[in-house]
Amino acid sequence: MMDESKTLKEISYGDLGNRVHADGSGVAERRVPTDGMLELTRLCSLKCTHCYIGDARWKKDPRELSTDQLKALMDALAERGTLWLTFTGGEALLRKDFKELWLYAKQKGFALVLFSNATLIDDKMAGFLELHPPQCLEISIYGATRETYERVTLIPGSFDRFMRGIENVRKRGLPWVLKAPVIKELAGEIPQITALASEWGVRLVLDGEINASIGEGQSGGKAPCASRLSEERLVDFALEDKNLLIEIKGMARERATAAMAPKTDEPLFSCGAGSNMFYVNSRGDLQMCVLTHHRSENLYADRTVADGFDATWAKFGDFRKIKMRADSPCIACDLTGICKSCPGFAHLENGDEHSAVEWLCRSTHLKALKTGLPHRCDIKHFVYTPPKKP
Amino acid sequence: MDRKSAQKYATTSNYVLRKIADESILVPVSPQLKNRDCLFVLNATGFAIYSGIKSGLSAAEVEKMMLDSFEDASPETISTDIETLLSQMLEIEAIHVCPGN
Repeated sequence: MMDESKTLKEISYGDLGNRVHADGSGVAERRVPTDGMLELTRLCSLKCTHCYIGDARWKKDPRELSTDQLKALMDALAERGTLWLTFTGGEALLRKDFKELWLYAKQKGFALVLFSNATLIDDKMAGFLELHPPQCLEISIYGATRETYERVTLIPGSFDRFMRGIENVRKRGLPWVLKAPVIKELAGEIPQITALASEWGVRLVLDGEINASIGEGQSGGKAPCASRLSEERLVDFALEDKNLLIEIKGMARERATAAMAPKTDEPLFSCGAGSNMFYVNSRGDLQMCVLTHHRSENLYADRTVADGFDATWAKFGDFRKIKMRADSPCIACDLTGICKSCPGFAHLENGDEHSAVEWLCRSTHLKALKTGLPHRCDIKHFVYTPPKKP
Repeated sequence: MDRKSAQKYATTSNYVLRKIADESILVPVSPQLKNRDCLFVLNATGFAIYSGIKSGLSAAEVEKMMLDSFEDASPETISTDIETLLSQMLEIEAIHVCPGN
């Protein structure tokens, strides 16, 4: 009778993640919401130039979810099979009830990740996180020097607070990674940031794909796009990623033997958004991902949060059946595998999910040209002249 | 029935049982636990046994329930599985022996 496998088997979070998310596990087909992000607040302790939040970072939102509303949401998520849950902001640690919410989530058995800028991680908070550790603490760095850091964050004194936060994280041995946006303001310091990460013994994740803002006001709209690197510099950074190079080589090998078949019936959403992943913003709007507020519903509108989740989640299933429009420039492109564009990014950029983000499109073509990746797509966003061979 | 089957157990608050997709998982939640980096997957048998204990059944009652539910299994196999799981769950502090046993 008994299953062949052991009745009780120890497994790491990583291995469970691989098992649950593997093709054929059924999670994608059944759309189990295993992975979510909760934006606890849009308020932030910094005012970064490239931030996607908009002016909502600077004033308390009366519609921000209460402690009880967030707890009810976590109850509903636990019942629906969410295991991996990220607390984000703004700066999540600005919530006065952060510890209460964190402990509640812990008791519910979520595998928690915390996004933070570390400026509020004093010794007490680090001690709390040591006792109730996250799976990972993802900390953003905005410069290796005070001058650059505060030119990005616009807050005098923030660099010292950041460095103290890092010291506390290291002292307590918390599991963490360091993330740096590769933007104009700090691109020159990436080598120094890399050296710092090495000194601190932490993995560094670079991200240069800066999307337009999800918010409004002076810092909303396309304001963050001013921080973008030129395509040339962005690609130079991207091609330092050995994994990307391996991927491109693999694609090149495949294309040497067979041309990629033209796509005709592409789903608009090909990532995990609305399939096993979701995002809930600080007002309780359930979104497929952080970038897709245009496809969201409020969970608390005249219904229980559980009913709200189920109804909205069902709609996400319909959204995922949408096909890419025939006139989308991306439908005929055979470089989408190395392009960072997506429907959410495109909607924020152009108000159209099916459109191409020109900056990313040019960068992607440049990646292909610089690496010699054969491709069919000939969109003329970019004319690249390879350097002359000596 | 051996010694363990005659005893009464209760689940501790060190773990919560979660259903993630098709997996039944014991997630460590207590800061007192030595190993909080790992989860424990229960198969269908393990889930039935743990749920039985959680609902207040004694080990003997769990065994009877299992015999009724899994008609094609031998009583020896069921007894061994229960014994093994009880030992493992005691070791990871997912259950404890009820006082008075």
